Amino acid sequence: MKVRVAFLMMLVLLAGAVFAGDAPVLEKVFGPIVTGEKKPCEVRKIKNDRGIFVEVYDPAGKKFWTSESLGVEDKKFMLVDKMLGLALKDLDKDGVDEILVSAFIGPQSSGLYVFKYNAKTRGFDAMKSRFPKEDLDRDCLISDVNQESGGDLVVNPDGSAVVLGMIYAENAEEPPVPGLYSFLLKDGVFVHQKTEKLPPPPKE
Amino acid sequence: MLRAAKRCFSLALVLFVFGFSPGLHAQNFENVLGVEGAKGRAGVNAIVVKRSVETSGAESYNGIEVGKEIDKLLDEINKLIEDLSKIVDEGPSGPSLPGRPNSPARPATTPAQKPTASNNTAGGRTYTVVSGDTLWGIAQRFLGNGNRYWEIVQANKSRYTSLLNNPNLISPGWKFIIPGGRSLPTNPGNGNPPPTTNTTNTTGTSTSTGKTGESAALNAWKGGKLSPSEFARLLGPVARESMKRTGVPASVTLAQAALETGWGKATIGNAKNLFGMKGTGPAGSITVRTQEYMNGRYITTNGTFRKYNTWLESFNDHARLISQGSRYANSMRNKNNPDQFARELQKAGYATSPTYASTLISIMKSYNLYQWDKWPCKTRSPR
Repeated sequence: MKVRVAFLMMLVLLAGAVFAGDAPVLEKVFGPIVTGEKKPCEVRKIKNDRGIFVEVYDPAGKKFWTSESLGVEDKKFMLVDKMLGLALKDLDKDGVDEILVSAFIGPQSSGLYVFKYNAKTRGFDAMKSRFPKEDLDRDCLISDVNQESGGDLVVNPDGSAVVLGMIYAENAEEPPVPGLYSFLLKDGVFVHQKTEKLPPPPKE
Repeated sequence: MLRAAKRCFSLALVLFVFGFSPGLHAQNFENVLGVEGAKGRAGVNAIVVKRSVETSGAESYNGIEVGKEIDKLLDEINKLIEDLSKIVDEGPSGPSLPGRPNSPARPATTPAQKPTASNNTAGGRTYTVVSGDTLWGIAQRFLGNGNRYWEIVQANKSRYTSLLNNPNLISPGWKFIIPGGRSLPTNPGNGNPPPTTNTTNTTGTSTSTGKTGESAALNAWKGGKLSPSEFARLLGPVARESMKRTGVPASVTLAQAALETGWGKATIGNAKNLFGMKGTGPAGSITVRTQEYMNGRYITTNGTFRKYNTWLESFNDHARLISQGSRYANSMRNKNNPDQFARELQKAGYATSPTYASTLISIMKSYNLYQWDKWPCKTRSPR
């Protein structure tokens, strides 16, 4: 009996080791995202009780980086006209892909994060979005128009990005209107270029 | 699903092995199951093991009896493994992620079955969730007010961490600690919001004596554009009540509600939804046709928005995402400074616009919404 119990104890420990910390993988992609490393790494978008995260595994399958919480729920974005939740793309044309991932932050806003490898930290840094006039930097591109299609967060291979967001009038009694906020990637930062009001939707 | 099954499998093994420790009381197993056993349909399997452990609870063990029990339990382990294999084979066909904007709305109740009062195991301070329960309904029954569901969330958030992200999603078998709970009433509430005892005085200034902060005038309001002063007069007490519970300044949430709804014009039908929150709320959801802009053109789609029983629920739900989200931690550090609170919201990315904070501050100043951050003289501020 003792042998059986000991065997089962070992089984329990093994199960704990195998299953501990396992979180649902929403999506995963493979690609060369580490400078100087030609073999592809695996990137996973996961969701656990604390929110949405990105994990990166080296070519040997060992996890070496986990992002901070990106949001509370999954969210889609668009790479040109493709609806995705996670993608790899070399937006800054340095020969190494960046990690593109989106998440719903709440209560209204969603974020499109672009992570670039940092050889010094052996981790990834979020490329900032910047409103130069207002001296405002954020760690991601933000849309506060929560569209299920993902069309509120659009990025293009040339480093340009367009997000949907409300435009607020100076007169507080005037209602906000939806607009297109355009950005361009310059020196590793998405710099705000212009804001345009959306044309009104056609009447049904 | 896979994760739940894996957890359950681990748990079943733990139960099996440690179930033979003579000093361990059967109740301990139930406590363990309360945490893990309800996380998925695989929890049923764990309960099977639990029952076996309970029936083997004789104090005097001998080698033969224990050996037989081991054999029985090994059989059950085998069945568990078979069930686990089936679950794994089914793949990720489980329910969509709770509250996920891109997925079909999930019901606010536990699946399908009607609540069965006879299954309740409320014993003073704990309650086991049964099919058909809602968090709101449990709060209504045990705390006398459905709006106090947040107290149950707070009391159980360490045990069921997903409650913080989605209090609308609870599962049968969860064991809730009821804060200051009372025993199950003989005639449980019917699920409707409790009546309030609010009055409107002769000058038209709403006064509220109910726990929701909602005046009779506000109860009678079905949505529709109001003047800024009327908007603040009606909703100010509710925003203040929400501030008491969540810490989010009433002045800020009032300004946000004013912006989001166009001073009450757009509250999404009868959903009492002040912030355009998508998903499923305490009173379910409402689906409306919306226009989405994609690739230079509009497409028509259906949007599912949260529905609330009361305006206070709408305020609380919105404030919860701010007060619980790590992203807005800097705002919460400035909860006693509404202007700075608004600036930190902007930095954190609450809105796309880089001028969002100045818009909020302008509204708060123009209509003196700061007055709603202060508690009336005769009542002590709980902050």
